[in-house]
Amino acid sequence: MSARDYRLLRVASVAEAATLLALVGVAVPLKHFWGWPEAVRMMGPVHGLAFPSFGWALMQASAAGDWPRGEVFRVALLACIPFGGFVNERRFAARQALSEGETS
Amino acid sequence: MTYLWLKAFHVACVLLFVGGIFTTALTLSGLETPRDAARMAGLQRLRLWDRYVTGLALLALWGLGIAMAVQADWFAAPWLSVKLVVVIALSGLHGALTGNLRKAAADPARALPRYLRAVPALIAVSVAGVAVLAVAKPF
Repeated sequence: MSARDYRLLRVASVAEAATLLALVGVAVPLKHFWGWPEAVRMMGPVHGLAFPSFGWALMQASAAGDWPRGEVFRVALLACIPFGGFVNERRFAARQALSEGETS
Repeated sequence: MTYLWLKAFHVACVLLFVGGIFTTALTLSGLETPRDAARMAGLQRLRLWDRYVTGLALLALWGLGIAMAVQADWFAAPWLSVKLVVVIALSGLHGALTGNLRKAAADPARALPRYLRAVPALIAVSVAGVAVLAVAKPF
């Protein structure tokens, strides 16, 4: 996998995690506790674009890099829970450092 | 932008995406090893098409589709939830095809996974299902 692949995966992972956190941690409480549904209407579509983008980047990287199925499943599962995407991003950074160390 | 224009561009992007994903899936499902120089050149052309046409069409159709759903207030509709699951799977499938296309175009001796043989049929069923859901909105 190239450095560009890792960069794309890490950016997509952070975007997915940040939009999920904004949706679940800010927009949903604003709707249910303060009666302000506009935040969900705004953040829902943003996360709706970030999530499939991350899914696409994950599938592309895992197919190109021959990742084990268990690893793909674990990453996909983590992406569905708040903060999980940030954990994924750190794992990708470690993987990138490892692969760059092997090639240099 | 009016709903009709969003829909027009969305359908245009869907057509480009479906054409592209079928081409990639059918090419990869019948690929043999080792590949000759002509086949490798074809794979390079397909990679470019996949990156600049199919991939961009996928991104645009997501943006336009979400804009349509927001404008028409469809996010609560059950048919859209089912359609979203199918199109997320199709998007992931396209990502997997792109990754395999890169591998195939980089190394003429590289064998591809066997699951790719079933992918064209899977895409056909998914695309047909999405079309029925989007047009009939059955529930």
